[in-house]
Amino acid sequence: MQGVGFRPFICRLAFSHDLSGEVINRTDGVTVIIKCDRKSAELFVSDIRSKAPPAANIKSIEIKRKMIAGYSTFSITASTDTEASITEVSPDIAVCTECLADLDSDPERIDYPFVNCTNCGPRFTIIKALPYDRDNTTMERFGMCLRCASEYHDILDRRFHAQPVACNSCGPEYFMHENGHKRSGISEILQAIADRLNTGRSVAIKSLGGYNLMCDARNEEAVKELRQRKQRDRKPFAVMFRDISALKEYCIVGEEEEAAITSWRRPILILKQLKALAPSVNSGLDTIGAMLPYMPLHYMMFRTIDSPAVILTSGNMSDEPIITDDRHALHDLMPVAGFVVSYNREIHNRADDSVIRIINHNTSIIRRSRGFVPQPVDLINDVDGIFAAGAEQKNSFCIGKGSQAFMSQYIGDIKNVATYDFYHETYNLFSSLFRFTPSALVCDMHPDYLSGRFAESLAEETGLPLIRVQHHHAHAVSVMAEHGITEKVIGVSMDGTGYGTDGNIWGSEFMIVTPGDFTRYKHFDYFMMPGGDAAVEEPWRMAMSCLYKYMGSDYDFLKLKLFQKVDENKMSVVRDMLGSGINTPLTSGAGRIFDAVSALLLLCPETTFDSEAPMRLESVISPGRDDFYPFAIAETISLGEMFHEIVKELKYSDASRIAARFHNTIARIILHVCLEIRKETGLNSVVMSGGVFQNKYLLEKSLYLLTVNRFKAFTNIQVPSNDGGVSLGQLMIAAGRRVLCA
Amino acid sequence: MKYVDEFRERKLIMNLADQIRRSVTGEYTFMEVCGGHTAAIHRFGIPSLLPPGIRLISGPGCPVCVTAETYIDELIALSFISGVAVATFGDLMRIPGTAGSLSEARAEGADIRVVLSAYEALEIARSDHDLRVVFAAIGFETTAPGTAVTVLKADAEGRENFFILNAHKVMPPAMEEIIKGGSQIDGFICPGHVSVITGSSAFEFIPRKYKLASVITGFEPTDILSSILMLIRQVNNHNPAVEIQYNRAVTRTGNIKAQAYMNEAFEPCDAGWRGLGVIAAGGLRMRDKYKSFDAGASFNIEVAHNETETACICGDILRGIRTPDECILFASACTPHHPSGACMVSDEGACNTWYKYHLHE
Amino acid sequence: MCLSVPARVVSVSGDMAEVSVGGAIFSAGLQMVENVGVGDYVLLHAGFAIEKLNEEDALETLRLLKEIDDTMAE
Repeated sequence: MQGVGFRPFICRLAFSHDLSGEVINRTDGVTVIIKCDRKSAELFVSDIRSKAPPAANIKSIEIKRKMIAGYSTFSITASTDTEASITEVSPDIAVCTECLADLDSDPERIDYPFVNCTNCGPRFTIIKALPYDRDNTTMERFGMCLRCASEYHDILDRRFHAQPVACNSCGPEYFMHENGHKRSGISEILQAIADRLNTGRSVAIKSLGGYNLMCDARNEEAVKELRQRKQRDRKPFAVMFRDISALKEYCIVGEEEEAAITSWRRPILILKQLKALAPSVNSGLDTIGAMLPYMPLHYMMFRTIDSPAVILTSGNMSDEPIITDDRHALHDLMPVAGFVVSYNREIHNRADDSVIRIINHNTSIIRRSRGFVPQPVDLINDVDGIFAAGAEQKNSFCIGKGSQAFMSQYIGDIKNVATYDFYHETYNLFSSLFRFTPSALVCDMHPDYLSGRFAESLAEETGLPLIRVQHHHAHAVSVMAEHGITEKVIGVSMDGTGYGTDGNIWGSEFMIVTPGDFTRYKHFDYFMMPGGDAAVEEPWRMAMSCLYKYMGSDYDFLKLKLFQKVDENKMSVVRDMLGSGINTPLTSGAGRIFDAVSALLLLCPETTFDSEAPMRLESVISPGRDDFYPFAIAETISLGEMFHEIVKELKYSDASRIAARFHNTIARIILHVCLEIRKETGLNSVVMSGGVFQNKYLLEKSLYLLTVNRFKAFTNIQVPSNDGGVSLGQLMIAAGRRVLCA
Repeated sequence: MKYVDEFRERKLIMNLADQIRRSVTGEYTFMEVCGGHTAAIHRFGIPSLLPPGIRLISGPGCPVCVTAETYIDELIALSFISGVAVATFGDLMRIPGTAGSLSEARAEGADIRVVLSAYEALEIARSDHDLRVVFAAIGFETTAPGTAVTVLKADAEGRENFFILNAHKVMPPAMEEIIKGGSQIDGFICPGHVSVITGSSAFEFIPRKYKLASVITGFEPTDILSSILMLIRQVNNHNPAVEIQYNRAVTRTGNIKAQAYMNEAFEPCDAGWRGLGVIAAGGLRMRDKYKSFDAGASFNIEVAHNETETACICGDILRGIRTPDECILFASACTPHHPSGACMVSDEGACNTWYKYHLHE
Repeated sequence: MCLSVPARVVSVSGDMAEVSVGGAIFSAGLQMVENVGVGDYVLLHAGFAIEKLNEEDALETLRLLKEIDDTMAE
């Protein structure tokens, strides 16, 4: 992988071991030749393992012995660029501690806000083409000064071969824009940022992958104001903390969580809240999306502002991709923040901050972008030439090169032109960066997805056939791809929505799965969605629909507090819909059941952002309970008894207990159905995927139950469990079918 | 042959260190007077390779460090004149004048541009006839010839919008001043690149007049260690001389062409060295023939020439009498972020080097 | 600023040359040196070549150092 400082590291290591030889970049990895005896070789290899730069992902080291001649010194041999070879590009790496120290002591880099070295700095976001050379990045317009050039040339220097190397004399700089004036000077800019944040105002700042809006996370007025201006309603804001100890004051941090949050990837981590910030930060949820600084400017900013925590939200207007263009930012964000900080190095490739959660001691990726992209997923079979378009929500696509899957960064919900353009641009980028020519195309079965439209237009252009794949099948196979599973397994795919082969909306799927095909075994009952999408936006409708099904059409809804709050007219319209079956698509989506229960508990009668209802439901769970509601499994899984019990309990029990029991019930259902399948088929491995499994409580409970019942259970670790991971499954399915056809 | 890697071979370094250890028969103090040497010595950890009894001290080797505060003030004043752009080397940007640095002035809108050479400044003047470009000409004999070449070119072109604000200085008189000032020095690690221009002969007064050892030294660890060995031998054998260790670049006579350029454009004059006071013949001034390119003569800039009271001991440090850690401002009020004196700003300054490499000892 | 680095001449045009330092190209005035051609090494300082680096002398120095090395080994 280029850009992680591996070859300079080998060079310095060889020098310190007093060894001569060379290091060469080859298509299948890095080759190091050293002239030495066996013992020295062993010591050298052991040092490679223990001292390699943090972002170097060493998969294996193979040692061969040969007779060699020559080599009086150690050198790096320039890589020859062959047609078929592709080099992995490093994801963006957070600024390292040595560079932060340079901010204070290296005279040419005092307060140089773009300080970086071979071990850290921007990578994916600035690359335009391969190989990873300065001229192929957006640093090309900044000519190195003599001092930087000599560091670049000096093996012993940490900036040896660091492509983005620059300094105060020759590098990019920050500017601030306010009231139509543009000014430079980093100390002035920091002072101005501090003034604004300390007095409860906002700033828009160009970060690594795009613009962010920031304000003091402790100041309720500031947060509320920002929320209003950005039209965010209740979706939680991410919070950047000054350092890990400030973070630990506000969040509960476990061991794996601490490792993840301080890693060079610097993602946002969903953590349980310990102490409250301003209420409008997470609007009643019990978790905080926390992160640590990752750019030099962030660190410098925290030294000058009062607050230990700032809101960091993406600079974009509702549902459009995060803004990366400076003029666009001035146009859109100035009215929101009144103050914009930009810099004159172009962001070539957009990347949102990544979001992850630790579930069952493992990473569960919610949004895969900065710090992860474009690291590929290694597969065990050949997926070369396959383009997988992905789904609609939280989209990412996948391209196959050899036996590696390169997943794009998080694109977003492809529901508007701007996002579609971003999708298209990113496809072009990946094609050129990785020299990709499609030989097979695959997309979701859904007739209306824009990603599918894109795949169709590619099919027309190239004359290649287009395979359509079922949504939940793809979810399950994404897990199989990650873990190298090729034999038949039990697949559990749970989410809110996905097009089914019967034309209905699926989402609680228990399947028998192979990479090429699947059989639908069981699923929840189908429910009507009165008003279609409106039922997603107004979960009380799903509550009504569920009760309508299980309690009967003349159930006295107004007995329940939920419906007392709903507009009379709306209720009667929905009642009619349920009666007539008009405009009521059918769904077995588990996510909708979560919506219904959340609404019944008065947690979320109306959603203002995706998954709000289930998130609120999860956040009120009182842990430590194992009891669950009764359920019945026949041809389908019936939740009738469960709803009966819940409705009874609404009168005397509190939301936290009902929520816990409900989640336990779903986990029990999962176990039960898997036991049934195992009895019938002997299958013992279970793959679990789908947006519902972003729910930490549910996933951990289900994994526990399966494991104690001797199942082997697998989940998504390298790609999201939500629709952001579907393209990997699509890719694998296409590969599986290709083998069959060949 | 790449001129860098070969001179770092670890084995050579260790052998030299060994030889030095064997040659030492007492205590020695050697002074280096070149910022490049200051940085190299500390970067390669040379002191840790030497036996006890050898003391290396830093002298006034940094042209930026010995430039007067008022020079910065003058540049800032010039930069605020409309239609004037100041072109300077990057190192000067953060040096504090009496009321701020060039970097701060630029943030306030002054037209100040960083250039890599005097020639680049001339090119700016060529490209914009309405702009009057003033080049900040600092540096020792290594840099002065380049400025001279550029001034001559400007003259040949009949250029009327190119000027230099001259602060060039020459080394040997300053070294002599230090010797006369009574510092206990046994020998000099002589500047490597100044001697490329002047030739080693410029330093022959050191052994001849003052019986001190001197070796013209390169910048790689093997160069520096070899030179120290050579210095020790000169001292042990009581035969002070000017030896050239850096013979891949330096000769006795130096670069005649460069000297010719320098002499054509400049003549010696007395100059104030920050921290050392006025040194006779310690600077260069523009010859009358080229006076029209001298910004000092062509612009009317008034700056206050007051000596501010300060606890900064840069002067003593430059003289080699005291070390950075003896200054009460070091690493407290005076850091690379907020420098009080020039020795902290430039990466060839003793205080900055100390801060970078020795702060945590 | 006292910084002078060895640089390899990449092209020559009249009294100016392009030189390479670790791949980065800089402009160098050749007014102070003679007979400099492509492939030669010069000392680059503040935009000018102040000396042509002498390969023979460099090799000689290394040879001397290696002698020290050999006598140590005996």
